[in-house]
Amino acid sequence: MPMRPAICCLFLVAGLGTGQTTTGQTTQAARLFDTANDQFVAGQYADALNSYQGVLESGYASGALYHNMGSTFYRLDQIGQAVRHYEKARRLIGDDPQLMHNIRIVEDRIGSPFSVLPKPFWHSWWKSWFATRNPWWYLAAGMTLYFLSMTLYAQRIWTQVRNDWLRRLRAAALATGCLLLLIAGGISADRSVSERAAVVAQDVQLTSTDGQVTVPEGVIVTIVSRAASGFKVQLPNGVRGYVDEAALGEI
Amino acid sequence: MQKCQTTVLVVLACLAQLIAPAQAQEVVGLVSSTTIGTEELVTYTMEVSGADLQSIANLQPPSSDGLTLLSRTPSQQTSVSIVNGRVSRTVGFSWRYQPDREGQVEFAPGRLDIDGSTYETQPVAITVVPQSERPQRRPRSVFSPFNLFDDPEPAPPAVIGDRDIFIEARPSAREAYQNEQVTINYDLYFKSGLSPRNSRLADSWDAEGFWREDLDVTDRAVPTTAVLDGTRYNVVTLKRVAVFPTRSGDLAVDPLRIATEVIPQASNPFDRSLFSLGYTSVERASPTVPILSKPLPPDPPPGFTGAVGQYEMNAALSRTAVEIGEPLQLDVTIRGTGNIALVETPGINPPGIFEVYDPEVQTSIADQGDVIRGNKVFTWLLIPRSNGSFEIPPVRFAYFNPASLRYVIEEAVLPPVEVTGTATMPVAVSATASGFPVDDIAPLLRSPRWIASDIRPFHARAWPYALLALPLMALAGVLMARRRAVRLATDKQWARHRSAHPLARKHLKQATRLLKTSQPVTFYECLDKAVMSFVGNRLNVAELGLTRPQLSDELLKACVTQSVIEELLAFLEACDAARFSAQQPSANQMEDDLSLARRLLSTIAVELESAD
Repeated sequence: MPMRPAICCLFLVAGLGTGQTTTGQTTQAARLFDTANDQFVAGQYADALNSYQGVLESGYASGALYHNMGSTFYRLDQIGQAVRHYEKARRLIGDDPQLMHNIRIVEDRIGSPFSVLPKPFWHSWWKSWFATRNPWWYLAAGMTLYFLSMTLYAQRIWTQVRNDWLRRLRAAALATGCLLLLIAGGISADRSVSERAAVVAQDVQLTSTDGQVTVPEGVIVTIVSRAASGFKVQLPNGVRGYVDEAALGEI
Repeated sequence: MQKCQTTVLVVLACLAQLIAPAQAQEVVGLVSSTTIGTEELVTYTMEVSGADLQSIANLQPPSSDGLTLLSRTPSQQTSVSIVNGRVSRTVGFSWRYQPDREGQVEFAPGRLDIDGSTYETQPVAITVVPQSERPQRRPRSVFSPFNLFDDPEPAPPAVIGDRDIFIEARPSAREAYQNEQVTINYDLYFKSGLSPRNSRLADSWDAEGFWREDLDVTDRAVPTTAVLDGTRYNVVTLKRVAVFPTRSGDLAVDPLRIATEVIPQASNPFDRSLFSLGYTSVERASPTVPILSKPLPPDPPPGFTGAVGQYEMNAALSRTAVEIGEPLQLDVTIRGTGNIALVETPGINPPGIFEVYDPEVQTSIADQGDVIRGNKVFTWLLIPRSNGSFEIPPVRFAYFNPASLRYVIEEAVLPPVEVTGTATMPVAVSATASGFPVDDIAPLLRSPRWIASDIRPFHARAWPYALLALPLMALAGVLMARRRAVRLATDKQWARHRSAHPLARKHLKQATRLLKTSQPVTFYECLDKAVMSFVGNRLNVAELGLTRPQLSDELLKACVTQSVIEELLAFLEACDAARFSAQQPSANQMEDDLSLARRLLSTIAVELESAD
């Protein structure tokens, strides 16, 4: 009986924290979004971009919004910004076929001269299984199992009654709960920690120990650290160097 | 009448040309042979071009260490020739010298004055060899009515020597930047009296490491004359080629090999006979031409693709106002001197609404002159797919100018393009398996799932961590409560010890309440219970039935001081007296006893704690 209020609170927190907004709150954003789409179709790309920016400034975002902003930047020939917004959309909607098609088109346009170092084996697993899911559901489920396991442990301590099935249940609930909490934290960190950036200026000069390298607009780099005069970044082929801060747009 | 006047004018013009000096004054020193025997004579001729005989004075034959001048009086020859309407007048002064020794000897410069100005010839070296090793010469003909004096031109050699006919390669530079043009002239030098014919390449000619372009050479060139090492040669240009090093480093152009037939000619027609007339096949090769190709300076500008030379660029749009779907043409023309054929397509970046087709490239190269010049025209077809006003970024072309040693960026600004009409949804001519256009981005996404854009990620908030810590703390509390309950149930001494203070406080609290209600008997009972239960619980002895001596002994065992014990016993006596006496104690007395009880309990507790 004493655990009932705690579980209720847990579900309440999970429900509030998902970040999903109600239909009433998004009406204005949705209207502005539709206006921007119409402007895009009419070829008024600059106006469409302003409208999309208005949606963002109203406090709402979505994978579709970033996708459409990327397409608008592409039409305006701002390839770096197009890549940046497509990658932002990818964080929210994952490897959506339509989005991936557009990313391929933009990559063909960029013609990056850099080879790409292979990613660790778990990277693709993480991206395909978890990275695009809602972290709040993982958090709620993980917390529920965690509290359940704690309750069962308390019961065991107080009653001192041994039961094999209860022992297995406690261990399973604790392990599963911790795993889900780790996944939730990982997704949350993955979406918020900006460690990648797109080159948003034409032919940016990267200064490395071996000299200068010209980086075409739209190439995605990994931010290693922030220096006084810019960023220390790593190119897709592993070469590291410094670039001007204004030449990068964080993803 | 008019025709007659014209004829007179032409004749007068010809006479004027004959009379007037038709060429610049030039003085050269020539020798009859560059190799002579010790018993032979050598003739040194000072040849003056473009001057009248009357204007020449103060002739000084060249001195020489190793040759003796036989006579200071020169023999003299004069010749006038008209070639292509140009008159050239030549006067020759010849001296004969006798060698004094074998080896290399040199004629010092000879001098003469022409119209008061002094001219000098260049030094000329010859080789004196033993008479037996002298080069073979054709015997002089028995009769030569046109050669009464010494023949100023040497007799044609019977054996063709290396220096009688050879190929000279003259590069315009020995060092050049990568992709910079170097022009190489291959000239055939042959002595007067030799008449080469049927010249042809004897071997393939290559220039590895170079891109090359042949320059125009006249098919029927008139030989020019040149004096080389005191010997007059006829010169014909065989080949002219422009080479461009394609990499840096030490490079070499292969020798040019030709095979030709030489007809030795006599100095006059009467020298010829059926037996002496014949063709001699000779093969000659030019020397290898080494060229040091220097790397281009570092830090080329963006867009540089290796163009070297002097160029200019312009770009133009065929139209600046079009309807959606109407093509417009972008022409970029690069012209200038350099490796024009290797100039790569400059990058253009029209807005994405333009469908851009691969450019059509037209190259025209002019091979006249000493440098390769030409132009290259790149033509793009652009088709707008959306309306609006669009600016096409400037077209840039970067090249290296070897003359100024600088990289140059040519930039052509294009006017904005106004695209009118209604944009229709593009009909994908070809689509992917998913239905998306092959060469364009997919349509917009229209079903957003909204989230707050400024939502703070939960991993950066405190409450998830608090939620994680809360059950752990609760679990620790449950564990401690469980342990306490178990000890209370199993350890009686510990349980009595834990309850001593609370029980004493409870009795004292009750005594305070009784003091206010003036119930002395019950008040002193509470004081007695408070003290006795405290001592009993702390010492784990049964307080009921405990006599005063037993109490004293237990307290002594617990290291309580004697004075405190006596004071405690006196207090208990006073409590008994107050309970069972007929005279009731005053309120002040009760308050003093309550205070005394508190002080005694505190003192005993302190002493028992210190004893533990």
